[in-house]
Amino acid sequence: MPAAEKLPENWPETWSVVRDREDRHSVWPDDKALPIGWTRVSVSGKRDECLQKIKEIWNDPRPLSLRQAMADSNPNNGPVSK
Amino acid sequence: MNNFFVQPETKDSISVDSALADAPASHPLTLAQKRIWSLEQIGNNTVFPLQVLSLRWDLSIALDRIQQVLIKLGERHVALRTRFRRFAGGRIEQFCVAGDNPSIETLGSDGNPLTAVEAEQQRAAFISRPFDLLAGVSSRIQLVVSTEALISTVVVHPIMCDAGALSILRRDLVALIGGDALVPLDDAGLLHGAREEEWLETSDFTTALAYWRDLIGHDYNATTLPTRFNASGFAGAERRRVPFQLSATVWNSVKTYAGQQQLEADLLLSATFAVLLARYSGNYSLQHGVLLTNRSNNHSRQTICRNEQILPLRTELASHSRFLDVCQAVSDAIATGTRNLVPFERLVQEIQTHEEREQDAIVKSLFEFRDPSFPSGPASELLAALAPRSDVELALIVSPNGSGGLDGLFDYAGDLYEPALIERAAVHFSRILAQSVASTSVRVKDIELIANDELDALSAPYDDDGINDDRPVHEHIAAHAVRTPDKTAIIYADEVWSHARLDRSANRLAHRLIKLGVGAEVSVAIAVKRSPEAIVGILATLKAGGAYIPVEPDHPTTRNHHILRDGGVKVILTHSWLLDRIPEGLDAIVLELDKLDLTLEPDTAPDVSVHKDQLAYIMYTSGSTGLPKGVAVEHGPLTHHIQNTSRVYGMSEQSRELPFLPFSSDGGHERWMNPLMEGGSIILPDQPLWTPEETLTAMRKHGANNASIPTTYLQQLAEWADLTDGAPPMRLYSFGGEGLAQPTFDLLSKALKSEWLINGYGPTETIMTPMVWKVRAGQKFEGTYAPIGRAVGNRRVYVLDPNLNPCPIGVTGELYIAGEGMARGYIGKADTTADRFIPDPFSKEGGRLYRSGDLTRWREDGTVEFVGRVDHQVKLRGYRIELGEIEAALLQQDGVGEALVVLRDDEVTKQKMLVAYIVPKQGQELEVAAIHAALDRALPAYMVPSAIVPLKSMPINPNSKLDRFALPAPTPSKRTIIEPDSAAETEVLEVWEQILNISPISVEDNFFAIGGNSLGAIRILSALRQRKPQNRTTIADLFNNPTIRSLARIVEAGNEQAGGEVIVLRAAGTRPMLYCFPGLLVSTREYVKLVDYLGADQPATGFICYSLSEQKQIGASVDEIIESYVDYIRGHSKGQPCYFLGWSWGGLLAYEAARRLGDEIDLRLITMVDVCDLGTEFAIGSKPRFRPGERDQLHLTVQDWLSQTAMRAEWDRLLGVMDADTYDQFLRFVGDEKDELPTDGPDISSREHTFWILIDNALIFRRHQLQPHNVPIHSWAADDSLNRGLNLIDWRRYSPLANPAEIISGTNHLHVIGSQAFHTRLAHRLNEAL
Repeated sequence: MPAAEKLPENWPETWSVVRDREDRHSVWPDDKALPIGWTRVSVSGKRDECLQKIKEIWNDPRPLSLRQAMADSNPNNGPVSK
Repeated sequence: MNNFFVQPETKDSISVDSALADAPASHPLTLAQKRIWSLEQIGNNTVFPLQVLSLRWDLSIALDRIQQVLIKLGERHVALRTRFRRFAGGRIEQFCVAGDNPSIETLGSDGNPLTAVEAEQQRAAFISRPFDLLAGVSSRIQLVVSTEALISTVVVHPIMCDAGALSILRRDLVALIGGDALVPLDDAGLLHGAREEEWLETSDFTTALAYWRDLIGHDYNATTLPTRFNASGFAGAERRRVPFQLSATVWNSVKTYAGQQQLEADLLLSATFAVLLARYSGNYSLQHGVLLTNRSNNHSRQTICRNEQILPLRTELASHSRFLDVCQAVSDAIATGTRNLVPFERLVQEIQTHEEREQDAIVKSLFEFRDPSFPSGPASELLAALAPRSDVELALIVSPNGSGGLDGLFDYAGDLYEPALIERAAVHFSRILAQSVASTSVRVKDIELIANDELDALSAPYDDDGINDDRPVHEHIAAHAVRTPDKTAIIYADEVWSHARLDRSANRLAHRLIKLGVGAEVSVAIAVKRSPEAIVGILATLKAGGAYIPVEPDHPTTRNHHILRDGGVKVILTHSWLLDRIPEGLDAIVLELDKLDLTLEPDTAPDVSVHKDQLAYIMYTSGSTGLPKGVAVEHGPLTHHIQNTSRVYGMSEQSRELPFLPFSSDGGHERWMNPLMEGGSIILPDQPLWTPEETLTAMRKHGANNASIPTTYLQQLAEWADLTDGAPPMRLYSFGGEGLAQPTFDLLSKALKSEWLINGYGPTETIMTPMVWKVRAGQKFEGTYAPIGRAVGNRRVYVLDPNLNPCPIGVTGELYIAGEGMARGYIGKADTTADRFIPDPFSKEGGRLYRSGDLTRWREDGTVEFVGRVDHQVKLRGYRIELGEIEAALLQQDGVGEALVVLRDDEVTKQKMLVAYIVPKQGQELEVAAIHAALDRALPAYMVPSAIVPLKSMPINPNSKLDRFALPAPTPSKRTIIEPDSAAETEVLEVWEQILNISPISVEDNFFAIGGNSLGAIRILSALRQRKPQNRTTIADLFNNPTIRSLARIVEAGNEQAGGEVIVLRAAGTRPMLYCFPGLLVSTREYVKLVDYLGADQPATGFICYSLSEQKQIGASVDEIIESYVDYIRGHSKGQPCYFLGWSWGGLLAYEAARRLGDEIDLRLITMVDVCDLGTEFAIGSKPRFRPGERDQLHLTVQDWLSQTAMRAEWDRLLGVMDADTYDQFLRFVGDEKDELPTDGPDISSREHTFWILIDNALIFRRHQLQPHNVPIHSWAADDSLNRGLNLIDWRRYSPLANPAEIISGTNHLHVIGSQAFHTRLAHRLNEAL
């Protein structure tokens, strides 16, 4: 996906790692109001640095609701039974 | 009457030199004045509107008081009583005489006033009356006495007045009425031209010019608002206007803010325009212009004259620049530019020097602030609508109005800009201004152009009132097995699967999978080809709670191995014969479906429930580089997406769909799930590809009503259906995967007999087909590709700039998709997921936006148009090029089935170049040269690929998408060299090789294709002449026989065949013959590009330029020259319709030939291209001026030169026919030449020979006098010729059927004939005259 490598020339300098209610992670520029539903994680820096950090800290891709549902129904992560 | 041709002894009243012999000293015009003169000359007096000052006076002011004051005004300002004088040859000068005041027309009187309505009628009629600058003074004045007021109107010709001057006039008039004394004025306005001429010779000018050359350079990109699709940058004459207003509140807050920041208020307006351009163009490196009033010193603040100047600005902004930084940048650029001010007309000439290609305008968008400073007291102004100069593509004027606010006006070239876009730009200008002055920290990117409600409407999905059912897809499908168990679900070759059979099979396998450990978040690979078994495997996986991963067994093993490992596959479903495709060492269970015994498994659904966030599938997508990434999609958004799609597509249990999309793309899965979820059925192809015939047969046989087909294949299908008329009637075709151009869409519409067509679009990351454009067949769209429509379901789509600001309609930005319908992310790639799926700033509940990497724009109807990939837009020589646009142009050529354009490095030169790859339609051959020529016509030169490479098929990656990285480098095509087979051919070949300096040359190579030009042709002929003095071969012979083989035949045949003067440019065609008359030194060959453009139906004939012809004689008259042309035309077109085209002096020949032929031919139109007169030098009666001693010095120089030149005899003959006055003119001409007199003759290609021809021609034409003749004439002028003030002929003076000339911008006298802008307009006029 080469578009990802070709960053817009005018992107801002500092970004933060952000997270939503389902523990999905992303990045957001510091100079722009944070969208509803997202909070800043205490990591900021260049965009790439933030993405690198996400690679380290976001280990479970499942949304939080699913994690909880799976944990509730079966400690072995089996299917969610009726 | 054209007085340049008038003989001095005739008693013509406009023979100005003699009539005005006693007139006072006159002065040259400035460059700006010359341009206005030239425009008026060619009948174009709308570019610079008349300057009008209308004041309404209280009846308390006496009529005679106003009259006296108006007289004083005329006495004070030279510009109101300037006259113009044309010298023989056309030089124009200006002068004035004391007491020669403009007349004051007074209408009505105190005793007999006009009604208000009459007064207004009279005023309007007075204003619109044209000027004749050679017959009167440069202004006129009207006084109207009405029952309500006295109205004074002063109209000044724009050649003497601009908006700034009008303010002075207003101020002076009001002051005089008030009895105030005016500052004494030493009016030197008429000297500006002379001063400018002097200044242009100084080193100050050279320095200033160097500044601009450095600043603008060669590869500039003038900023403007986005132009219409296919406008190709050719502005015609039509102008449109969008007026708008800003309230007093806004203007007051701007003034307050300016005061606080110690800035001029108009600078804020100018900066606002810069911000508008940046936000609309997406380019923060701006090049635009401002109109300078240029009245900073005391003299210019008192003098009426034309002083305004277009000042180009280069400003480097950034989206994070504060508005105040923008003000600073604009202000700095204006300050530096003003210090280096060069007349814009001259600047354009100096910058636009590229020989071959048309050059873009230096300034395409112009800002002008006008401050009228309203009169107070007894007068009020009758304001006319803002009237701008209209010589820039797009101009914005802002001016304070009488009600304390601002009037704004966009004036633009109607051909280039969409009116709705300009109207929105006007709204956005106001928004930018209002937001910018709200605080001191506003940055360009903080400004919101799009209001919330507009964004809401633009981003909205298809209307869909249906309520989604949260059950997962497989449960919906299973429900039909209960309701309609025996109904057909799948037709596959000769198998027919009922809903019940499908469900029971899936249930049994699901039970087995559960036993093997498949459950939530566990993935199962479906490694079988597209078949009912594959669908069983998928449904079983979903029923078990797992996530399926389609693996196409035919795909490269390295790719499949990567997927199986990366996807963490627990179970692999395959067939025994595919086992060798499964890598070893995987921690996965392999189930061979053909060997599996499931009879003991229950055929009821397993008791498994799925969570909405649980994974349903993982789809691997290929990027252009690197390994495929797994896109993970959850159940909730999937089932909702398909239910929404069902409603948009109008699916039902009656639906029987032929899904042709491969299972390796998510779209392929949508198209089987959807009918089955509705209780309908599918016809599953049993092979990856069917022939079009097989597909149509299957549709007919099984009664398909829907089909979903990749765009690339659909085109083949439609071609076949068109050929055989074999398409069954269908309810719906859906397609997607590649951009779809209008011709293809038309073909689909026509050939497929479908009620609906759906163009689907969607990245895998936003689940299957998140956007569709659903239309009836036959729909037209503007744009490179068919629109991709709107969002489907619970999604929104946004076109955003890099700062995530929504783009206005028509502005290109990246497509972002928001809402529920998107993937969880990429398997095992948290960073890439975070990079592409970002927080949604527009959502009220919180959500994510997917960044698509696709460039798009919103269309007027709010649907989205695909423009290209973000990484598919390239920059070459300063131009931003959208490769898709070139591809679309290729696809419009006959026989081209697929097209792809890339920017790559030339392997030899290492320079970037555009390379096009084309694949023919089935069974067709491609002619690369013809396609190349067609692109030359269709695209701006910078977009025409350097090479076009024909391929049998496009390289395809495993997902049936084009693989740009597997394209071959273009190789220079190998020419076959055919050796000469006669002595004559050998001789001609030797001459060609020697003159053209290339080897080897094939005897069948076309002279022009291998780089030959007119000069080369002349040299070849003179070399042949040297070898064979009796040879009569002419340049026409070479042009008509442009290969060595054919030319040698003519040379050999000798005098019988050779010696033609006529060039057949195109022999046949149904349209009237176009006769092309040659200019002074150019040959008819220059018309070839034009004739190419006009197409195969337009026959054309050219005549050899007289100076190159064999009949050339000293002192021939125009009548003698046209003799052979007239004979030829009479012989070939007697009584027939035909057109004439005359370029440069050829225009005079064309006109004379037309006059001579009269009714003998049916002449539909003469087209005149930049036909100008000789200039002043050799006109009869023109008396050259010499400095003291200069004449004698020049005479000595000429005598000295004559003693050295080898052309002495020729020169003597020429000088021998000159009388004393003409010889003086010749000396003047020599004195004005920058270069030394040439002595390189007599070779036909030498400078000296050219010089000789020039003088000879001058002597021919000076004796010729044009006579009136009724003939339709349309003429064009090169912009550069106007800037140079060349002496263009206004044909309306000779024919009542002549039109005012149109201006061709970005080109000059020499290159206008090859200009595409000219070609398009000529074609248009020829059509009109047909």
